Amino acid sequence: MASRRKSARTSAGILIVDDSLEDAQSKQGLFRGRLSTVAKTPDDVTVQDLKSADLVLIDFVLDGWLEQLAIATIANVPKDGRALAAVLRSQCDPVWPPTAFALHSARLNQLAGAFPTRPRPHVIARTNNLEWAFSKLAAENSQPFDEQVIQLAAAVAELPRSWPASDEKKMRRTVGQLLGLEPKAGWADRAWRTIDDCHPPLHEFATATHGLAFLRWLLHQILPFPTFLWDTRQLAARLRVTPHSLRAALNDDQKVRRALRPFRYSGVLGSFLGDRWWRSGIEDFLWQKTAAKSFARDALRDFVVKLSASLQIIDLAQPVVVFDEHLQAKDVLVDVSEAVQLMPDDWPAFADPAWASRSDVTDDEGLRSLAVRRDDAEA
Amino acid sequence: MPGLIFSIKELLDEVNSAAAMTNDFLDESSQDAFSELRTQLENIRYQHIDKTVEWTVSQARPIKTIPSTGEYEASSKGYSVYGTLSSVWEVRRIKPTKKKDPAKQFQLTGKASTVVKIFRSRTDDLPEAEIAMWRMEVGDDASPGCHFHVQVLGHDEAVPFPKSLPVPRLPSVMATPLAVLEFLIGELFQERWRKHVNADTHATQRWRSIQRDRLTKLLHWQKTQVDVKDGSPWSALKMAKPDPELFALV
Repeated sequence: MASRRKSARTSAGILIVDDSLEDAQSKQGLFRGRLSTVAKTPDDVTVQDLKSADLVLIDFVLDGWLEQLAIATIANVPKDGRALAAVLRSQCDPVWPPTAFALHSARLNQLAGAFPTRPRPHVIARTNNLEWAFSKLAAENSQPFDEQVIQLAAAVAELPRSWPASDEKKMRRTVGQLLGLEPKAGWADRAWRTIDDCHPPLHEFATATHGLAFLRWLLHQILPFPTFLWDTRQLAARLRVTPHSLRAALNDDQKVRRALRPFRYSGVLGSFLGDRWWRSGIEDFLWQKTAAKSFARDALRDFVVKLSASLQIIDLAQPVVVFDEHLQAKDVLVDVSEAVQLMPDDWPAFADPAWASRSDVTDDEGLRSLAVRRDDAEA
Repeated sequence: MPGLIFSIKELLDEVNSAAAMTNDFLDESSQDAFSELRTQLENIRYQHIDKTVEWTVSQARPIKTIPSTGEYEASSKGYSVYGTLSSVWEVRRIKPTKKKDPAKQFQLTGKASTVVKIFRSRTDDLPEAEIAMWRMEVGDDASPGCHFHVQVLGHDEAVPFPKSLPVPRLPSVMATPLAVLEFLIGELFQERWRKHVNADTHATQRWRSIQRDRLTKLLHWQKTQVDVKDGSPWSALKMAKPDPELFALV
């Protein structure tokens, strides 16, 4: 049985597969010194390559390779990188340590439906049995491509050699370590409850996939949504400040950074989609700082003003984060009375509601189709 | 006598099942109220603040129903109204046996009031207007009148029911803000709510279990109070204060 011991390699590794070897080698340059990389065309990929890789990054369009293929039967010809990923995944022995698969393409919109028009990587990945889909267009990646690839490969490398499902304590310790949840934090217990509420795959799914199912759960169902982790916009809404001023304060104001540092998510994929914050930690913190009046507007405002004068208070009764017609979160918070709840297909039942502004819903057919209707008379 | 004791876990279950069960009857803005109730309960449970704190549905962000166009009457004829609910409970967590453990219960220490308001919806001819208001309250040691009672209006000196006249205190069987919410929705959507709660969902099952247990205990307690050999059964009930453990889980 082939085995890949963590100690045999000093860093995570990726296999880059492209129909153009030149393009694959060019991508290697992005990771030089930070990841071990192997660049191959599809024909040259070996079993050993798959065994050694934490992440296989595959180009979506493989026309250059397909044109040269002599094989005539369609069953032997993966049409694109998505199909090739499935073929390569099928070559991975289940007893090996896990290997993640991701697409890399300038044409992710071909894999997205008609709505929304801007591709959403976690949806593409989820619907195509991939861990992620990276875009070659910088604007379509929420974080720099190279940083995301490194984080994903590193996350896979951090998975335990064998998932400890039969030992509940050990399993919890493993998950806690992967999530970077400090066991001594006063809010750790309540954080665990919120994690459990989001149905992490900790048993048979994680065992069968050596923990890859756990990473997928993070990538596809947790990080993109407001759950036990908040993004900076959600945090701004909770603090009743503008997202812009909160981001600026986190960059420039040491007092704000220091105050919120204990609650920044620092587990695997820590900044894969941008900063994330422990919701339980924030709520615990605010309850203390406002003398148990963390939802009272005045008490919260007094605390925020004391924290930093640079934070801009917003004067809304109930601020919520809203999505635009591309289902991308907007930076301007809206009062819930001016918002309509949406129910996109990918929205987890355990996440906070999704919203769009009333005016955007009125103007956009796609958003209208996702709006939750509340006033239907029952029979 | 100290105030009533409630299980935090049971209240969390009650909040969650109420949120699921009432979703179709509430304005979208109400979802935050449930989230806030939940978070406050978790804060009380986990934070070692051993003083009175508030468990609230803010008056500024109340739970709000969708409009009822006459569904408050069997004939379903009437103008459009909607209801709001806000509440304040003053509570103190009960220290667990092991200091570092989360608290399992809290105790009422003072105010326990749930305010319901009914608004006539705006029309072409008429502006929106508050047309009814009542408060469902759980009394404390010093409060006169039935321990569980309803007061109509009484928040200022406007007549009828001015603040300076705190009677009548009408007897009630609604113990918690969420039970009051069910009452409100049941009043505004008479037939629709009745049909809705007959659906056997997980949320309804859990709700039924909690409310049946609590109502059974409350009604049994009331029954024992009226079983008097002398004086007036009603006076006996009116003066009675329940044991703080009335709703404690066995």
